Formats: sequence, structure tokens, C-alpha cells
Amino acid sequence: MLGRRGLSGVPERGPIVDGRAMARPLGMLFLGAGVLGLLWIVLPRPSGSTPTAVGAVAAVALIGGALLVSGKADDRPPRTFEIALALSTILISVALFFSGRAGSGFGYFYVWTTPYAYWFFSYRRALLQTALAAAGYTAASILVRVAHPSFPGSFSNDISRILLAVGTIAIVGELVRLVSDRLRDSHLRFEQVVSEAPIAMARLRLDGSFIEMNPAFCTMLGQPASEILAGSLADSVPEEERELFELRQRELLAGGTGSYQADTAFERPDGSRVAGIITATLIRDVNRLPREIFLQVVDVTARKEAEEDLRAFFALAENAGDFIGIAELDGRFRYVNQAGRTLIGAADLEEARSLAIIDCLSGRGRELFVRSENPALLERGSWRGETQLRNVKTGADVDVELNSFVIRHPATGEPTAIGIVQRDISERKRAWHALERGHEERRRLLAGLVRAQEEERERIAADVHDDSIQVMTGAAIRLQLLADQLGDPVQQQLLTRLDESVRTSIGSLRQLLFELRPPALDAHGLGAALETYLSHTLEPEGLEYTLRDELSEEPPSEARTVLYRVAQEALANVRKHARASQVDVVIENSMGGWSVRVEDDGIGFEVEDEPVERPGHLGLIGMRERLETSGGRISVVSAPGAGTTVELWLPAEHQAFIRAG
Amino acid sequence: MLLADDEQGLREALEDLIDLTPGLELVGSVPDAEAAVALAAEVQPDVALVDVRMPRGGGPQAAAGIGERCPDARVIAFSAYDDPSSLAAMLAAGASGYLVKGAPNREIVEALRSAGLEAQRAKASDGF
Repeated sequence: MLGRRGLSGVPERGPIVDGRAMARPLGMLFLGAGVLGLLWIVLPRPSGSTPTAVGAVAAVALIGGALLVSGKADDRPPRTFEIALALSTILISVALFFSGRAGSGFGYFYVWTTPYAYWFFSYRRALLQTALAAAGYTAASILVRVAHPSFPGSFSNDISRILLAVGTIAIVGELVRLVSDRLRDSHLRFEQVVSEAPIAMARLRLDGSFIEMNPAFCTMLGQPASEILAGSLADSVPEEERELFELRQRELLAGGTGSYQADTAFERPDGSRVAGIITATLIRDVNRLPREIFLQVVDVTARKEAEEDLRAFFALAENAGDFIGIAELDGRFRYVNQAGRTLIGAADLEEARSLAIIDCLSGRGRELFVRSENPALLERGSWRGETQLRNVKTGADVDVELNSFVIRHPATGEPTAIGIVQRDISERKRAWHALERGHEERRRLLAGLVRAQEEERERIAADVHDDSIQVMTGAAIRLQLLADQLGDPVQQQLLTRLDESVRTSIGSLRQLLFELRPPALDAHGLGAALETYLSHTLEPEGLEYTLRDELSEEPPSEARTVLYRVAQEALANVRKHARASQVDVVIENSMGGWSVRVEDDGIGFEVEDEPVERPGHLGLIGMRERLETSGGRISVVSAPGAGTTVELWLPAEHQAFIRAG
Repeated sequence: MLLADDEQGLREALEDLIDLTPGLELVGSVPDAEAAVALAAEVQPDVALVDVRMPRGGGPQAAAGIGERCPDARVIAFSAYDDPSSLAAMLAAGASGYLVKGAPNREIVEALRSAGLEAQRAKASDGF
């Protein structure tokens, strides 16, 4: 019944406030009472009193006091102790009655039971003790009335006293219970809050040593409570902050301030640091004297780190060479970094904030924004492309590469802002244009060169035809006539040899004429010219050839020349390197232009190994260049032992360019 | 014989060749295609030796013109070019022979003679 569980099955509530703390003064009180009792026996006293009874009281008081002071009382089984006390109460009461001090007996009963109830602050035990004391007092009263019928007072008088005592105890006990429950509740609440609070809390003695701390405090310092209790708070403060910390503590203790709050740092045994905001409050006792220090530390390490990160990010953005900006959803700038402000011509962030995205776009940029960027942002959440900014100060347009995206709330996903990253590409564009111009210039030069070369060839051909060949032909005829007139065979023979030399030269000139400008190219077209070339150059070397001319429309003169020259080079390569026995040439209209395919059954080669240039020849690169100048291209398919197919292609629409060039 | 060549030196050499060759008689010598046609219409030569490349129409036009005005005359092309396309162009215009510049005098004379005989035979057959 007096077990650890209460009568109603509710777990028994232990002593609230520190039981040990109360036991000691109470024990002292008991010891004092015991000593007084002994003195009362030893010293001269009024007659009629019984030293035995007082001795018993003194003995019990001394034993109880010693137990309490030594701290053993708490460790004893409560039942034994309570029963011992109850029995002692009965004994004392009986002894008092016998000594004729019945009135005082109730006083002792009262003195014994009430502190006990107070001591435990346990309603249940207090009631039990009261009931036991009442029962003992009643038993003593009955015994006295039976043994001494003449004893002053009456049994009913005793019972009424007992009832009065029980009632008083009950009322006082109830009051105590009310107060203690309140106290217990608030203490428990406080304890719970403290132990479960994420904020580190600790109680310090005035010398800085720890009284106790909550788990959050241990977590913050990264040490178990036992280790923290062994040291002082100053040990955990980094050296460079220790002086300031101790100064604050001293100020606090001096009573100038009731509390202080400060940024501070603590060092963990593993060397890591904790940034905290410390609140120290001086707790005073009832006499307003400093008693202890209550500490609260909010761990702001994560926040500090986040702040540090944010600062680093800000510095990164601010010092970046590209435009970095954040705009509100309505387009107004919230942030534009330094490079961005320079680009749009805003002197500072405030001025940038007075602008909207659209204010800093050129006409073309605005058009792009409305047509592409804005719809893309709404639809896909991002846009990437080239656009054009306008510097609001100078009005100059700047080409930029833009990457804009919607920034969303991390939790809700709601759009909160627009992120903008832009790179000034005006320099790159200028360089690109310059390069492009260079390329064009080069193409024009090359085209001009090719044209000049052709013209020169034509001029030389005309000269050879109109002058050299004619003159030499005339000379040859006359030489033969002369030889016919001569009678001297020796002279005749000499002249005939001279004539042969002249005719051989004429033959060479004729070949030169043909190579300079095949007349068929102008008169009869590409197919005819190539046929002539094949019959003139390949046939005499024993190469078989076929030519399939499927052109539905003859290319203009310039294109014809380009195709002829490149095809001529391809055929010359076959003749010189392919060791082929058969060449098939196909000319046709293809893909809006003209193509010439030269296919041989020769030894082939690794296309990568094709020599870059051979003196006096166009080579593959030269052929490609000549075609590309006119917007055409060349493809070579070959492999060792598998023959070679060269295909030239020239588009029809590029011819205007060649003529213009 | 009628000669048509824009190069005077060559024309004179050919004139000499014809003059010095028995059986060949020169009836005219001109420097371009138009003149050749006009002269041929006038003198009705048996044979016309025409350069392929010469002013005012060149060999093909001269051959066609002469063929039209002197149906019995034979036209022989005389050219620095011996490529098939030039040859084909002349033959298409009505030339009956093709001589390459640089050919020996003997070949020229033979070609002229045989063409002359053919022309005379044609004329004779016309007469019948």
C-alpha cells in the first residue's frame, strides 16, 4: 500500500524540491530538539515531570536528526521509517499521558506529524502518517482512561482533540498540497522546457563553474555533461574572446546590469567552433544577493555560415565580369551587379533598381523580349539566346548573350523573381565580323585571281593562236617551198630538218593552246571539253574511259571553267598517281547545281594521307579551295586497293558571286 | 583556190605554195569570213581553204556561207586546233576536209588537189 505506486494507481510523485536540501536543516532541527531534551533531563526541572518520557523523545529526536543530517533517511525503505516514526509518536503520546502531560501530548503529535507531511510534501504519506498518529493517540487515550479512570479530562474530550488535530492537519496538508502542486507543475514545466529546448541553457555558480545544463548545451559544446561540469565556461571560450567574456561576467557580477547579451564563440574539443548569441542573467536570492548565473546560448553557427556564404555569393556576383541580375516578376531590377550596372549605364544599385528590364534593351532587344524571351519564360521558365542591351546613359547598343530564368520559391514552387545572366559579346561579334569580312575578302581575292588566271590563259592562247602558230605555219610552208627549190641535196636535207623542227614546235604550241583554253569549253560545253581532254591525254596513255554527260542545262562560263579545271586536276591525278586502267566520268545536274564524278579503278589511298600540295598542282586542298570559293565542295572516297571516287559539286546560285567578284 | 585566213604572213605563204604548185590556181585571198563568202560568190572557186578561227564569223560561218553560194565548191578547214569539237563544228558547217596547221605542204597540196577534183566532178555533173 505504501509502495512506489499510489493508491489510485497513479505513479507516486516524489519530493519536489530538493529533498536532500530540506532533510539537512530539518535534521539539524531534530538534533537541536534532542539536545534540548537531554538538557531538560540533566538540568533542574519542575516537579511532576518524567525524565523517562523526555529521554525517549530526545532519543527519537536525536536518531531521526542524525539520520536526516547524514542523508541516510532518503535511502531507507519509506515504510520502515514511517512505521518507526508512527510508533515513536504513539510511544511518546502514551509516555506523555502517563507523565500527566496529556495536553502537551497532542502538541507533540502535532509537531511530529506536520513536519513529516511537509518534509515529504506527499499528500498520501502525510494523510497516512496523520491517520497512524491519530490512531496511536486514540489508543493511548483509551489505555489511560482504562488504567486511570481518575485521569483529568474525558475520553470524548480526547477524541475531539484528535479530530481537531486531524482536521487541522488535513487543512494545512491540503494547503500545502495546493501550493506544492502549483510549484511542482511550474517546476516540471520549466524542467521540461529547459531539457527539451533547442537553446543551450546552463546554471553557473558565481565562480563560473557549472551547476547543471540541458542536453542542448552539451550538444553545443560537443562534450558530455560530466566533462562540462568538471570545467568552467571560460575554458570553452576561444582565447582571443576570453578577455572580453570575462569582462562581461565581471560586470554582470558587479551588479551593474541584470543581464547581458553578446555575440560569442565557443570552441569544441575537436577544434570546431560554434558561433552563439549568449544571454547571461544574474539570479538573485530573496535577499537580492547574487546567487547564480543563468545562461542561454542560441547556436547561430549555421546562420553565420549561411550569412558568410551569402556574403561570398554577393562578392562573387558583384565582382563577376558578366551581367548578373535579379528582377521582380514585373520586370523591375531588384539587384544588378557591378558589371551589369556598367553595361546598362546605372551609376549604383539604387539607380539600377529604378530601371526595368525593358528599359535596358535596344529596339531589337525589345522585339526579342516580346517575341521570344517573355513567352519562353512564361512557358518553360527559361530563355537563352543573343539579344541587345541599351546603355541608358550613352544610348549605345551592346550585343549580349542572355540566359534568363524564373526563380521559384524553394518550398512552394511559386515564381518569385527572374534571374538574368548576360555576357557582353560585342567584342566577339566584332571579331567574328572582322573574320567574316576577312574570309569574304579572301574569297573575292581568290575568285579574282582565278578569273585573272583564266583571262591570262585566254590572252596567251589567243596570242599563241593568232600570232605564233600562224607565223610559224607560214614559215614552215615557205621553208618547204624553199627546200623544194634547192638543187643541192645536202642543203635540201638541212632545210627539211629545219622545217621539221618548226612543225614540231607548232605541234607543241597547239597542245599548249588546248591546255590553256580548250575551245570546246566555250563552244560546246563542259562535256565536250572533258571529252577532248580525255581523248587527248588519257587515251594516248592506254587508259580506258567513259564519259556520261547528263547535263540538262550547261553551267555558265565561270562555273564551267571552275568545274573543268578541278575535274582536269582530278583526271591528272588519276593519270599520274592512280595506276588505273579505267576512268568513268559522269556530269549531271544535282542539288541545285552541277556535279562531276570521276571514278577510277586504281590503287586508291588513305584519304587522310593525301599530300597537302604538290608543286604545280592544285592538290586536294587546292581543288577544295577553288570549289569553295564558288560555294561548292569536293568529296573524295578512297581506300588502298579500292580505287578513288572524286565528286565535285558547284551550286547554281553562287555563280552571281563569282561574276560579281 | 580561195584562201581565207586573218594572218597575212600565213596567207602569203599559202599563196606562194599555190602559185608554185602546178595545177593549182589562186582566185582570191581574204582575211575574214564575210569577205570569203562574198568573194566565193563572185569567183565561184573549186576549193576554199578557210581558217577556223578568224574575224567576222570564223571558219564555220565561212564554210556555211560558201556552201550556200557555191554548192559545188569544196571547203577545207585549216586550223591550229585539232580537237574533236572544232572538227565537228566545221564538218557540220559543210567543210569536206580538215587540215591542221603545221601539216606538211605535201598534205596541204594533196588535200587541195583532191578537193579540186571533187569540185570539178561535181560541176561537171551539174552541167549534165
